[in-house]
Amino acid sequence: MLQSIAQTRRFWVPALVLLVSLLVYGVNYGSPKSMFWDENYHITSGQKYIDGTLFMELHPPLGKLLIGAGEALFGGNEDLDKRAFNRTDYLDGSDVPEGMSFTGFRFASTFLMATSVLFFYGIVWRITRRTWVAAGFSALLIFDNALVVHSRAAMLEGIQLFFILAALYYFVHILTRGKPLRLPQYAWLGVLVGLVVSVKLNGAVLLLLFVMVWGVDQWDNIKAWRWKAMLQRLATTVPAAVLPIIAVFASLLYVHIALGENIVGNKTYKASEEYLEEVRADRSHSLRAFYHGSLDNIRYMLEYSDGVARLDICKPGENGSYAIGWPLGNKSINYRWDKNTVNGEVKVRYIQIIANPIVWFSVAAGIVLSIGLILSRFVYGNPVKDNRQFYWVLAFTTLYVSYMTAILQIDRVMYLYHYLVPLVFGMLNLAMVFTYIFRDDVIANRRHTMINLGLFVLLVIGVFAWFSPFSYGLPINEDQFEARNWFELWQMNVVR
Amino acid sequence: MRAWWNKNTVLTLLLVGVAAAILLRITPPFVSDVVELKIVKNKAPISRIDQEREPDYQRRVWVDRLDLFHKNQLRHTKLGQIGYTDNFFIDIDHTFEVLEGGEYRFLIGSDDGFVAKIDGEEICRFNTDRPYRKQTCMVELSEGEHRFEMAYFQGGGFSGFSVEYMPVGAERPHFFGEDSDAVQF
Repeated sequence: MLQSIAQTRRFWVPALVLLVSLLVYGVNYGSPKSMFWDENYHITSGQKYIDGTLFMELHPPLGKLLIGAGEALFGGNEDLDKRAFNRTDYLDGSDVPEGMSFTGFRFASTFLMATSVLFFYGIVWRITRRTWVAAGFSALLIFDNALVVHSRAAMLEGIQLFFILAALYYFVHILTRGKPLRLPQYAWLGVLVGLVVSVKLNGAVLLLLFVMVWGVDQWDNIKAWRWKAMLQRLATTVPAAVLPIIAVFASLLYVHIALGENIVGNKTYKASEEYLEEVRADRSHSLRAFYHGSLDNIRYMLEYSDGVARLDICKPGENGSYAIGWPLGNKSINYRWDKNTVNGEVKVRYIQIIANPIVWFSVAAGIVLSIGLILSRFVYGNPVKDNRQFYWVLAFTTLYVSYMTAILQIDRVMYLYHYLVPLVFGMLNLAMVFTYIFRDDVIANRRHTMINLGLFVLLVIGVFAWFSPFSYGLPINEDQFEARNWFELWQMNVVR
Repeated sequence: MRAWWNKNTVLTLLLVGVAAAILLRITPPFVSDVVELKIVKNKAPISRIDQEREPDYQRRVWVDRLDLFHKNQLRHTKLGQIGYTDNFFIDIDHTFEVLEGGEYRFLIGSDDGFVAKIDGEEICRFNTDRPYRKQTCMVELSEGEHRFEMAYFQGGGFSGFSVEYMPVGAERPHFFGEDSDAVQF
């Protein structure tokens, strides 16, 4: 019996991890029964897809299409009057019909994020080949308060992280399966990266994966500097990777344009006359509509992006923050609060993005350790004890540092949740650094190392539970709030 | 190097250290039960200490000393916020022992009003609302037990109160609830 359990752990351990993830992310995810943060935009957009209303928006369409699909499949709001959603881009809370359920709109983000733990588990397992390492580090993705609160909402990041982890899993899969890299692998990776950037354009950081895959593919040619062979390979791999990205992006843009059959309230988003002509003639699905609609949508995205305000830390109530402070959780955002006074005691339900400090600080420490390791190898010429593991550390650190470097160049106001993508890179990197540092112990399945990882996971879970009132909107009083206000740099403000 | 001292040991110590620091941070504060506060929420707005009370609900809290004005609120340094947000009374009825008879100075600060009595005799009061201010109240106390009664009210806005005592001629005051050479609680 025990032997049978041990032999099948490759299947039941990830199944258990998935179950825990579904519970943590999914429980009562329809609460609060009101919109918060960007839900006011994305729920509106999702409903417009259902109603066939023409609209344009800053972000590419996939995330909002899935939000709309969730509502269409599981919403249960068919009897409610949601016409107000089509007349605006930002839905005011007072325009939400009474009794509306949010489970449909939040379905895609919540359950794609919860399911993505399987990709996370698979990535770590494929690299380390250790079930306990993969399961242990998956706890970081499951029990992070910021990821949980932000994903249990009709927002884009949970959906995007699903596709990011899918792309990373495929990237790791093709590099660890021991077979030569062919063009179809570039193409499939292109499809996945295409899905990522079709949710949010910041996913373009994953273009680095192609550089890495090509580097592995051409390692012998690079070492011997056979540039002709490298150029020849580039001539085939670049189109094999880029064309699927364009095809996926364009297909989803086509769906977005084709669904925009009706112009409501004269909201045309400065669309060209050619595009509007097609829509008015019920030909929003035509190629002409697609051509002009694409140009108009892209122009709108660029104009909207240029119009976003800059960070102003002197502005009262500014929620934005400098990227440099994100790794330590600066600054937390109170998405929503509801105050209630019972027997004279004020209790507040906060929906607030806040770091699980064990997760975030460990990720930051992992990045510092990785950079030290990389510098020691390339600057000081120190030998590495495990080349393969070193290159995985290098890969995930590169993704993290590249994303943060790109973000630091952006002028517009940015928020703590923009760190969720590099945070996940950092979690994977932490698993790689751990495996590098404890290489021999991991290989030998040393009990002390397992216990240490178990202790770490317990800390992660314990601290998650401590901060969970902010993730699930559980009522707390002022003293309970202050007991959780651990660091000034989080800049949390109590509601009195 | 001994076999048990290795990277795993260092990591274990680090994790245990972090866990201990967290436990220390989240352990609820504790102070010894010296003075009992009866906090009574009033149904109607309060503007005077002597107005007729309309109790809604009440609770009792023990503190170690009457040092309850911090961050412009009725707060204890360890216990945090005490009381309700607005419109409540606090009643104190505590017996203490004077070890050295003589003239005593009581420094009573409040936001808003209060009235204080010793052995049934009023020693000080401020009837209406005000920002936090201290006032001095002089009283002659003989050696032995005495009864201290105080009623405080909070209307709206900032809140808090404090009570300090010192024998005339002493170097520094003590908060009510803190034992000294002259007084024991």
